[in-house]
Amino acid sequence: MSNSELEKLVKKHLRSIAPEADLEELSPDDELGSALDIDSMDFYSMMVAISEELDVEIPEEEYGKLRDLNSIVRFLDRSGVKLAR
Amino acid sequence: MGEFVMPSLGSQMEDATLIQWLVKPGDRISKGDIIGEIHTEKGDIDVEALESGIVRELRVQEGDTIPVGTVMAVIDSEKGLPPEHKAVEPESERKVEKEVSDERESELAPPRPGPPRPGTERQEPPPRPGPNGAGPKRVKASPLAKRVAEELKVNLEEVTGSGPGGTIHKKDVETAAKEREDGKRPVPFDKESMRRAIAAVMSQSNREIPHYYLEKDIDMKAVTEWLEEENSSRKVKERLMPPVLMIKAVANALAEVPELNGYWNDGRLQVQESIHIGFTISLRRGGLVIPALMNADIKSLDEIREEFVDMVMRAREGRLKTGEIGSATFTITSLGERGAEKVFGVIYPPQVGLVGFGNIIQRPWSSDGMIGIRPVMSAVLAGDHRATDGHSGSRFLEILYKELQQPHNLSHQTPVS
Repeated sequence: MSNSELEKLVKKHLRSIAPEADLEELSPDDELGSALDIDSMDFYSMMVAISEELDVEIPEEEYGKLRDLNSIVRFLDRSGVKLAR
Repeated sequence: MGEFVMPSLGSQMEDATLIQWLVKPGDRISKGDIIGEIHTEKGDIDVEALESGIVRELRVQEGDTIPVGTVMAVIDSEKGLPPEHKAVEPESERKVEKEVSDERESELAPPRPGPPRPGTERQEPPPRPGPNGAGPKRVKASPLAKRVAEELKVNLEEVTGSGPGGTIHKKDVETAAKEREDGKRPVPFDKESMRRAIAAVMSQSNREIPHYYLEKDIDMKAVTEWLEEENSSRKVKERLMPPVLMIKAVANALAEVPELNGYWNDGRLQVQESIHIGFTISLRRGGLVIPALMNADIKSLDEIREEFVDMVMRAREGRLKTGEIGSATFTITSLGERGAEKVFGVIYPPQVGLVGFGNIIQRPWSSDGMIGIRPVMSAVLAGDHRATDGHSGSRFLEILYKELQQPHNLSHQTPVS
């Protein structure tokens, strides 16, 4: 998947937990928690959903580093993910 | 024969509106089945059957506003049915039933730590949810709607029906599918009525409960390191998070200081045998709910994790069940990883205690004569001074601190078989 496709996929999941947020205004390096007012449980459910959709495992040491759109897309790109379904 | 009455989901709740019945006279129901939906100031709540049997009569109509305590339905209880009509309950549920029925309510005696705890009162815990946390839910849907739902892979349990009695039609399924595609599923929510409900309960608390507050900073190094190691071998979905350990540690501390686990009713403290931990969940659309994690003291960390995650998700989707609301015997409020460092909470009556956890921050910390940087979390206990004194509260915080220094031990405590 290209980075733009990955970004689109992450935004789809962000939209489901923060439907009122204007994701067009979100900068790639904005910290998601404060920019979208999402808490750790929202973030957890989003990462579970992404992990299952792309069939990718997210190591514990990486999990804490995934805090903005850029870092998530870069991690997924490094993992060589493709759509699982 | 049993009567099913409108449950009270809090001291301020006076009535609720029946949205729909999910059963009809003649239907067989099992304890824990979702038999209807009601609208309260706390949102829409699933109504669970409290006993197994056959529905004889539905006494209230969909759309009716029903005062708490009103008989909603008459159930021919299973006890009166011939054996061939009885539903089979899982072994585990029968065991819980027996444990509960073996105990009787009694007057409060001076609380004593350690099981058994004489002088405590036990409430029958609501039935356990199914493996995925949700009870079996019946839906009213037309045959065409069912076929379309199958084609579009839409879960009918998540569709709001526009027909009589909430019957789901084809157009409802198509709308749900479209909303799913758009990433938007509006959840009916009455922000004003929830605000009123919170205002009423919190005002009552401040008016009636003489709060005292005790604070203790907790070194979270052991917890964070243990979680890091434990989670390294777990899939994302199965990872443990700090609130899971907090719930377990609080439940264990309450088992040692039972006078904080109870209700203030009729001018006296009623200590509760069962430990049901309420966890404050803030809702994105505003307001908060406090569902209870039942019998947290006898559950493993993985059981707590599974139920906690499921409960938070359903709370945010407005799909909590009656048994989860208003059942807590003690409440935790946690600020999560952002925001303020301390929270001085307001007790949720008729409970007599609440602990507030701040976010975990890196701070200078002295240990074994050395000063270092440690992850530290503030714990503030709010106690009802009518029920307990600072001595009990201080003991609770001390035990809580010790519990969180030994996360490995928390993980070894499994349910009583």
